[in-house]
Amino acid sequence: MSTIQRGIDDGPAMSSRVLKTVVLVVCCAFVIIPFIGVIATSIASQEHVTNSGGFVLWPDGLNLDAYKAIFNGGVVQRALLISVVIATGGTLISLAGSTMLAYALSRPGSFGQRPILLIVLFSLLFSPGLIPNYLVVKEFGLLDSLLALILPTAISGFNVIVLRSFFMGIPDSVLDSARIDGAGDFRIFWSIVLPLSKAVLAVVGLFYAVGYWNAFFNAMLYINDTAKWPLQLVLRTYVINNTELSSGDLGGASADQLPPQESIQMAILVVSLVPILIVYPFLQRHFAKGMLTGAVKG
Amino acid sequence: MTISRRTLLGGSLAAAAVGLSGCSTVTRSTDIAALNKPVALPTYKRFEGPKPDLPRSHPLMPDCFYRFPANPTKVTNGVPGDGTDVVGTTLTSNPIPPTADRNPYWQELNRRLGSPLKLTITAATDYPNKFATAVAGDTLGDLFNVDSGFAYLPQFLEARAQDLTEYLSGDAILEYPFLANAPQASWRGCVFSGGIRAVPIQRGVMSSNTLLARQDLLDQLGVELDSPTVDDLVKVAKAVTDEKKNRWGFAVPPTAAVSAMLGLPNGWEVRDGKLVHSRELPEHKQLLSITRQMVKDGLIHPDGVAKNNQKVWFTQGSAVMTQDTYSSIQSFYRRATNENFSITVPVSRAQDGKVGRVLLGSPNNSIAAIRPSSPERTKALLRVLNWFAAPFGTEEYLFRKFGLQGRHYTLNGTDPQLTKDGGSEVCLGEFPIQYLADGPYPAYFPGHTEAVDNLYNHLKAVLPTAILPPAYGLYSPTQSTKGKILDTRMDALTKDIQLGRADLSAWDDAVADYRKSGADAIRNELEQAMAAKGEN
Repeated sequence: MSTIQRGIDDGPAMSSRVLKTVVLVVCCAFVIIPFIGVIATSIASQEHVTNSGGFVLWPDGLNLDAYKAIFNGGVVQRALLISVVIATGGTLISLAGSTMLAYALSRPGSFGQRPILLIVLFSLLFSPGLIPNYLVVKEFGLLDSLLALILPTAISGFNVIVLRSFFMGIPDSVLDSARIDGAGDFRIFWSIVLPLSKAVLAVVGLFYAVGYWNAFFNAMLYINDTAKWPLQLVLRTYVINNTELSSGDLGGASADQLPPQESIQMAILVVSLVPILIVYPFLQRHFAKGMLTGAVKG
Repeated sequence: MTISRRTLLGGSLAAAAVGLSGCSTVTRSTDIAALNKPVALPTYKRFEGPKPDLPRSHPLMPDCFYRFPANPTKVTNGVPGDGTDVVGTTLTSNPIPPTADRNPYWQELNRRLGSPLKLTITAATDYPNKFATAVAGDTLGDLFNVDSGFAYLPQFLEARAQDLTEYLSGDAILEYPFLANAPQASWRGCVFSGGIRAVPIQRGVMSSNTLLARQDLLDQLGVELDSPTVDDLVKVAKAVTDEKKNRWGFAVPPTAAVSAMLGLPNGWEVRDGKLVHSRELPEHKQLLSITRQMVKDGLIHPDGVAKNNQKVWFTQGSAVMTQDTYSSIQSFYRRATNENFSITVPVSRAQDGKVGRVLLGSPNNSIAAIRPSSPERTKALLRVLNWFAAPFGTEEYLFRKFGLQGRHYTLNGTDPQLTKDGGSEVCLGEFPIQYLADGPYPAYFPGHTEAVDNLYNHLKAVLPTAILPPAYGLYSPTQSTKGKILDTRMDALTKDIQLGRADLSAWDDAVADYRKSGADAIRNELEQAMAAKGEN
């Protein structure tokens, strides 16, 4: 008994802790090393990139030419702006629509609650497919409009269910007392429900924002005007398809002054990652609470 | 959103279903004879433009030029367009050019065409998806590049493309002299269901794969490549590989060269009156064994089998040899930053010393079609395509590929060199109209006359034994619906074997399954198609 007691007091055995540490370090290395490589390549010199076969693990110095080139007023800068507009606008529209739908679905007795809930659940099981989606967007006249990148994915069934589960946890007595005080449905939703739901709103908002930020496929299908392409589609064109950015795409830098193509590709990759990485720490404190609340209540 | 192969194929099939719905007159997919019904091909009349710098030693030899002809002449009168918008859907493998309102080249192009050109441009790798949705949404426009992998292609073209037979068959094509400048081998790929339903984006032999080597690096290392057999090739690769110096023999497995050395066909070939596929032949296992050993010996770039970044490795010198098309030579020279950069195209030899038998690739890059239109509109669109096909050495070609002197290019002697604006606005000399129609592809590497000589000598040696793919221009419904999946499965196993993740013995079972799953049906249909065309 005393042995067991001492074991609990001392925590896990040393060998177990070492093993866990090693496993965690290895896992972290798998995640971090490619990321370091991407950053290192983006700031490496032409000679170093060439000698390293196109991918640098540790730079020989700080060379910001690739970043200067892509922020020189060319296609990347414009695409970045469009991505910010889509991610911000889309997240606001999605949050507005999803919270209202989820709140209505969380209140028993709302008009058409069950059939609408079934429709939302149905959308989790079956997706409409490429061609029907395209036809709907076309018939609504949204081709070549940035709204085509927002509206078809504005409401996610999964996020609505997460929000609904959270809203169902708000005691009826709180809402009833607001109603007795004379608040209408919209006032209750705006002044009571939303302030109580900051955690889940942060989480769902992040889901939507990441979704909009990373999306490229819809832009490829619906946006014919290349001046309206978001960053991820530009990124895909230049990194995955391995086409080269011309000097004109980079805002007119002289061709003989262009940084290595790999550095430019990796710099675009870094630029596409940073905004979302910046947002995470601000939402972190809400994250666990928001996710768990949605997960354990049905 | 990740797009799986199944999604892609599903998209194509769904688009075909939507695109063909309501069309009761298209040919049934089981009627092989009707789908492959022959038609009188357009008359070939070579356009007598500037004389090539080297004589044509073979009908398939491309025109070889050391320099761009001085004082190129204008070979068209007036404007080809009818004044109304020409809407098109096309693709590019280069940076997407700035839109027309910000692109002086495009604005001048519109002026010269006499019709505003409105293009939807998509990166080449995304084109099948874009094409499928555009078919379903009927947004392809007046002119469109055709995705060759689209399911039920003949029926789609019957339903959605203008039958050009009366405009182009026989001598009718002579009204469009630059389209008539395409050989009949190219037009074979434009005939579906007894009609000419597209125009070729011809490349001739230039789109065939070959082994390319960095002559400057070989010289530097004191290694001679010459005309290698398999053993010679391996010896050279071993001599130049130095992992510590980040240098490998090959960027990718050199399958084209080894196939030629082993006498393998490039896909289907008629042997003893029957069609056989390269994958069924014992030499193919030999090819796999050789390339597997090359990977094992570390002669191929470590990512060369799994990832295709060979252009960068070859240009940077991480790989001394690579495999690419003849036409890629020009782009390699354009990418090169080393002024000594030099490419040689070796002639592959069989073990007995004879020139390796080269089976050429498709004579076309792709095909492009016209939306069903009135006769007047169809003729106007054909005039536009004819203008796009004006050959090398003409004033029209110079503008099309290089834009306006001063802004887009400067002259180095008589050779145009793109400026930074030219690179962007003219899309590195490959503005996407080149995937709607194009002239014959010349062997012209500005500033590198030795490369022209080298390619000429290579082609002079290999063309007498080169064979055009016999299945080109034949339609197999099974190939159309299952071909991609079958090819992907076999290509995946090829990679697994080369990387040592699968045994070579797995190939036999895979071939048996490949035949059962569709290859035998494809063979049968192609043989019926050949009979329908009177080719056997």
